[in-house]
Amino acid sequence: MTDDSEIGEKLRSEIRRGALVLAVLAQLREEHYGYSLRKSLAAKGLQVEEGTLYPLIRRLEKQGLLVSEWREEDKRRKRFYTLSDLGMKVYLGLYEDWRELDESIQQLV
Amino acid sequence: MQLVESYLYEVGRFLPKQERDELLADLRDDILGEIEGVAEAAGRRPELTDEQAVIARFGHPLKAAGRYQTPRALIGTDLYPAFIHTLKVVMSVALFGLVLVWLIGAETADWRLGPLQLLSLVIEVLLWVFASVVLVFVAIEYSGERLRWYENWQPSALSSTSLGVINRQDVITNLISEGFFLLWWNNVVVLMRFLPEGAAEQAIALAPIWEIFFWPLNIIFGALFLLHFYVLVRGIWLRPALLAEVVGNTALLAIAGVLLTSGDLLVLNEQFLNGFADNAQLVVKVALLVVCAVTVWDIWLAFRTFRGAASRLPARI
Repeated sequence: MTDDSEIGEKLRSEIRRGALVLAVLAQLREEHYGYSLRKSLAAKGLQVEEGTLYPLIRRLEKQGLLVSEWREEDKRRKRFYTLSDLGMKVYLGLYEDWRELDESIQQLV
Repeated sequence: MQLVESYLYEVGRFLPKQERDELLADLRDDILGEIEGVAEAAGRRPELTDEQAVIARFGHPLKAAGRYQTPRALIGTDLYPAFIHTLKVVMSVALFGLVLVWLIGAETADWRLGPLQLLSLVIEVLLWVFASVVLVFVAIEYSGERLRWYENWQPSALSSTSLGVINRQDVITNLISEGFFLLWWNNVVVLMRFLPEGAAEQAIALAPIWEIFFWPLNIIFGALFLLHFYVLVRGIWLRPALLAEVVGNTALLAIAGVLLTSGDLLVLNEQFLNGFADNAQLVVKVALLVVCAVTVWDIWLAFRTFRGAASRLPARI
């Protein structure tokens, strides 16, 4: 890998890392379990590794932005996640920031 | 699911005891959920290849364990550049001090060290320095993060007495010349070592007038050495440091003036010097005049900096 592609990869990863939280919160306005969340993100063009997604979900739950519930579905116990009230509030704030940032970037690039 | 259990065991080795069970339970659910999801999407029961593929994507146990914990840093990214800079400075000073102690020990107490002993001493000193600097920065990191003193910082804390950046080469030259003078003045470094023992003392010696200035010169040069070291570390001239520079240089000038007006500066033995005695006296006086000229130049630069010229241009002292 050349130096410039290495730098590019690092910068892309920084952008993705910041955007990922917003993407996960957005998806969890509807209930999802881990695998279905990852698939739903991937279906919308955001491929996320398991090793990145699950620790993030855990952190968001610890911060009180998500609530989880164990339920049986298709004869399997699954842990379903969804936004808490606080999570919805934070999501709306982040989305507003994202929109403003996107507008500014669009004018800059 | 033996492979999953083995993986969890490996991850658990890198997790803190108090959180281990909880984190492993979460990780187990995440991995098993993924495996079942993959198998379900393929319309079959989970297979060993699914386990292998999912575990591979969770990554090395050490990395997986790291991701499931709150990120912590002994010395964080904010402090890291300052840590490296301090480490370099303190290690250089320690090595310089060690060389100095070794030279003084070898000259005055016949303290001889073999290469291996010297190497082991150097390693020991550097390890102590490293450990000490790490401890100080860990303390800064933790107190900064917990007590939040970074956030309480105000621009008013900046020194209003900064007069400009230093010229690093000049300050280093000063440090070297002052250090060398101190070593020579205290007989740690003996010039004319190439002459037979005692011959130099018989041929040439400093006049008694110099004896009066033994301690004053030690104090002035010692103070200037410490001052220039401090200035080198800070990287800027502060008003008190510049004042000390002027006072020290003026004192040196006064001593040089007394020496230049007090007749012969050397006691010479004509028998050894074969008619070069007068030339030797002249050489010393010219050398002293050169020192005076350099000192006057330094004082003038300091005054110029004081007046504020250096607020536009870097102070070249």
